[in-house]
Amino acid sequence: MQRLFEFIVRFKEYITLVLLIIMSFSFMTFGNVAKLGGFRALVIGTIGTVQSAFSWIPNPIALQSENSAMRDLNVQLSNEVVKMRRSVIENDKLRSMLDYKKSEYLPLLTAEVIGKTSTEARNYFTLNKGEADGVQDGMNVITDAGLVGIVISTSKHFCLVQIIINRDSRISSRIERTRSEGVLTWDGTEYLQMRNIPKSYDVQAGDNILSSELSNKYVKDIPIGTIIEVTSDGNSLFRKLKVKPHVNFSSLEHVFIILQTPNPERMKLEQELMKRIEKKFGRQ
Amino acid sequence: MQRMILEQSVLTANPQLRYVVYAIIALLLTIINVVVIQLIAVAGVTPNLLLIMCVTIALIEGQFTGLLFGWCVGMVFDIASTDDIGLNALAMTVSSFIAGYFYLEGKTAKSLGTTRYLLVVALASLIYFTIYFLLFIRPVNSTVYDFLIKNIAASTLYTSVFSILPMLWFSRNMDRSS
Repeated sequence: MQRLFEFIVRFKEYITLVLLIIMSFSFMTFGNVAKLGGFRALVIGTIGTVQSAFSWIPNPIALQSENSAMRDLNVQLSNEVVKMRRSVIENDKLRSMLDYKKSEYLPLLTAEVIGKTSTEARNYFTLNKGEADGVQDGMNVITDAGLVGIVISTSKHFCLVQIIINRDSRISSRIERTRSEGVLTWDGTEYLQMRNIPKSYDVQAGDNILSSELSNKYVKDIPIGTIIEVTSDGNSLFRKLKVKPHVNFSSLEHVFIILQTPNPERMKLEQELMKRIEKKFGRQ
Repeated sequence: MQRMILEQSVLTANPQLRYVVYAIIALLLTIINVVVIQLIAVAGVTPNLLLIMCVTIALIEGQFTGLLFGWCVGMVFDIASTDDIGLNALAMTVSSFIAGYFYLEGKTAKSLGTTRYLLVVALASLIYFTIYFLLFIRPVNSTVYDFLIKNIAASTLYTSVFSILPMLWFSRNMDRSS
């Protein structure tokens, strides 16, 4: 017994070390943290209180890393917001187009604007629908807002649309309220012009312009724009109207193609007439 | 200075009072280690003030006392932090035990006020962080580079560098008292 006691005293450091290591491993392996839960919660609560007292001290490194993380998050959220806004706008557009399609009796084909070409004041859109979808030259292109243009060329899967703000555009049109007829042209700005309207005609700003049945290219009664200005040319007998198109061409993404070509019989008759005139009077 | 020498002589003469002072300092350091040490973190690495204290105790009081003190401090730190209970106790016990080998009876000034102290802290830190991270992180989840360089070497280095402050303090005060 004495020798055992001496042994323990002599090697007390090693024996204690082994015991403490065993105890530590026991706590790690079998230690029931739940039993310490209340005490631990008390300690952590106390430390939390102390921590909150020190929370006013800025930590530059933590702030830097937090700022960096916040910036990244900000960029991500901004992208999300842009995407969501875009989706909302697109959704609204598609909803209104859907409503328009339901209410319109014309055979319509939905198409997407996949390209915009502008050469010397000649503006064209490329759509993702072509001959395979039944698209032909001369078909009108519209949106729920109004007239966009006319198909001038097709391939199997695409077509080219000459939009109304094009220097080659000549649109027989009519003032909705008074049924007065005229020809719309593009003056190179964001507006259309209607010239040669006699001063005796009842015309005022705010009147709507529709496509006319006199046109052999455009389907009648398609909204085109609104008169925003009526001016007189000095001593002239005519007025000049400034028309704002209903369609916003800069943000156009989806359109309808009216699957209806101009009446071939009428076209043939009018073309023969033109040929006869040219033959008789010569090309001017 | 006379007051300091008087206080030191009181502490030297009364071991119980000395242990109470150790306990109070340990509690304060535990709070500092948990609450405010993050303010001086470099790339997530912080010095371990409690380990520096355990090494100091082992060098002042000897291996046996250092061993017991290391375990107690480790347990308190385990409870105060969110670590597994027993993890810090184990690592602190072993590192205090190793530090105790460098205890020089009657030559405390030589142990604490010189670069020897830094080397002992560095060795104890290396042992402490190796045990701690081996059990805490489990290196299979980490690359060797991360495990060795960031977790062990960086923590050891930072703790060792931080121990310069107590070394300078001991160096100054031991000279005065002698």
